[in-house]
Amino acid sequence: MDRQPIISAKDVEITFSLRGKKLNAIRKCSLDLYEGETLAIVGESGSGKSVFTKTFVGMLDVNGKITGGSIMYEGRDMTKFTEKDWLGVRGKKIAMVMQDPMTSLNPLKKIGKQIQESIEHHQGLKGEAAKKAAIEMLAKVGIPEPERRYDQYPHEFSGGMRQRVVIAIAAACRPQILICDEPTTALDVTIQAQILQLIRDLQKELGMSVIYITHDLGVVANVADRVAVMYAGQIVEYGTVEEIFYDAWHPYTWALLQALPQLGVKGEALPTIDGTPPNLFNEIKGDAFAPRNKHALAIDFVAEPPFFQVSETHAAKTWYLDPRAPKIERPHSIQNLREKMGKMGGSNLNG
Amino acid sequence: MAEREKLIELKDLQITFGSGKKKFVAVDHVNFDIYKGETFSLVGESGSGKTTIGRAICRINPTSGGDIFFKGQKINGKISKDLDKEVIRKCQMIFQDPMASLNERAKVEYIVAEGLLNHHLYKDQNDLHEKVMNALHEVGLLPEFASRFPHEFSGGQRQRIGIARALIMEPEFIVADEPISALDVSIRAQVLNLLNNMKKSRGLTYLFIAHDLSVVRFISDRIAVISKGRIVELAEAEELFLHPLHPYTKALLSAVPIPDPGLEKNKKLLVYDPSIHDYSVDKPVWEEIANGHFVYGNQKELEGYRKEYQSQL
Repeated sequence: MDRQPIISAKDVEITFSLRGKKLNAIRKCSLDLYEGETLAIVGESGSGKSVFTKTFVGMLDVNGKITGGSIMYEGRDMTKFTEKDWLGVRGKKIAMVMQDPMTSLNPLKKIGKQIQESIEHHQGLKGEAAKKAAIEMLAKVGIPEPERRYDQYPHEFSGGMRQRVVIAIAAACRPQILICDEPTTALDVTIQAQILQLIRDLQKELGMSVIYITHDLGVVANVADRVAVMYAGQIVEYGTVEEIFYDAWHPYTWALLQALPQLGVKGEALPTIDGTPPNLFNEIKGDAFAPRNKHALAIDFVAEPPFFQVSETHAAKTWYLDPRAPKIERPHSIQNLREKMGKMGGSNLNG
Repeated sequence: MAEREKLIELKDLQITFGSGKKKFVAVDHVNFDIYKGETFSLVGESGSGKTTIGRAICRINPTSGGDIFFKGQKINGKISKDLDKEVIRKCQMIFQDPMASLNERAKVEYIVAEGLLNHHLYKDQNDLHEKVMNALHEVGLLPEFASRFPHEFSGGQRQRIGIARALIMEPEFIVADEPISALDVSIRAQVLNLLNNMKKSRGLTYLFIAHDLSVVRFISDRIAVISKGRIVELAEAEELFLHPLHPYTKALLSAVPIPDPGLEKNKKLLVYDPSIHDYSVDKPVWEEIANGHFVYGNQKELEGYRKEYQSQL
């Protein structure tokens, strides 16, 4: 890879203090984001994917603290940023789209004003010029009659339209990086497809890098160039989207793929991931996923596995890849994923 | 299939909200039957009226036209008090949002027991307690959870509480209104398995309301697609996925993300344009194109659907 990462996070550790106890939410996470790419971060709720990416915009909750590691952006370490430093980056260079379009807009302010606010603040446009830019932005995200819509309030918009407005606010400053935290979970499938397309179009036009946080592997397959799988505050596997879907190595990635309802056999139980994620208040020994892994090796309970490189772009944090490990078969149901999906009749629709 | 017992029958069901100028027809002339022991799914976008139909069967929303039959008895409109009670007990509902559908100030024991209390379906306190414990056990919750409050649970556990609350009434029919759309992938699988096991062990019948078609395909026997209060297509699950005919069904299917990068990145997204239907002269009808496969359309369209169907065989 000769591409230079624009964000390079190294061994980031984040702890929260809760009722006097320490919760290790992120445990030595490293991640690079390259220019123009779309990176998807997947994992269960509570795996730390939102917390981790929130550090890229300096929006960690007040009881959370970065206790180790570095996040390099434009030659500076973001973990050392003061609130003043953040003002020049947050929203302007790195913007975020939240999950719930119902709660991320101010219900008392007109839609147009909310977009204008971000334009005035970051681009220095004033009055009529800012209004014009806001209307342009509304049109760009596909809202019909932008002049009329400019004067309306959030409650007059449907969920999908509201999410378009939130994206318009985020994209208004032409950020370099856009972080989308489950942007379509609250939306219908047809609207979801439109929003994903919209983000893709904007990405092309503005040359942004996009980070998606999601637990929907269908969305991942749709948007991502690269995928990072997170579990219990760590990235356990990363690679290009093809490598993760067709050549995954970490047992947790396998479990996620197996739980897809598309792979279920009617009348039989879907494979589930038994147990719950580990309690992050406690020290975790060995591989965090081992207690839930039916085929865990003895060493998984004793020592934490390092990252093993599978290819130049693909690495997994599991002892399975150690040359001394016994050969472990990938679960049957996720082999030949492509043929199976093709057989499901997708070909009939899209062929 | 004709000899199968019909548990629920909807005949020309119409549900409207408001009156006069503000009248809004949410559900328009809906006809379908749900057979005993099957999982019948209703899919459509938000606002299409799918939840309204489910609520009407449970007697939550009043109907304005047509009939609903439960085991051959009419259960909408004015009915006797006894029948009302019976329907309320035998048709239970599981709600979408496990955060909002549980009383935050009540302990789990009370939440699960409330239906029994209302219907006086217990002998004494011991019997009541035992029934609650059995229900909790059946959905995979620990007995000590009974004395806790809903906020102490994760989303998946809350949804299990919601299921326990429905099961304790020993229903015959359950309306599951998007029971898994608020849950994580791995927990989704657990709740789906639980629902399937309940169906097997208790011989339940489900009306499953959802917009996630990938899940629907896995669990349902038959699927109805609803758009703007009208059912546009109805068929057996695999049949619908392999031979979708109505343009709305096709658009809906094409929007579902396929968890495979090769296929997903190359697929063509279809967009449904309702204006392609010209119903001004040729009035649309609800017709059976193939065995058990119904489509809504006018004569010209139906002709096209038939040809398309033949060519796919």
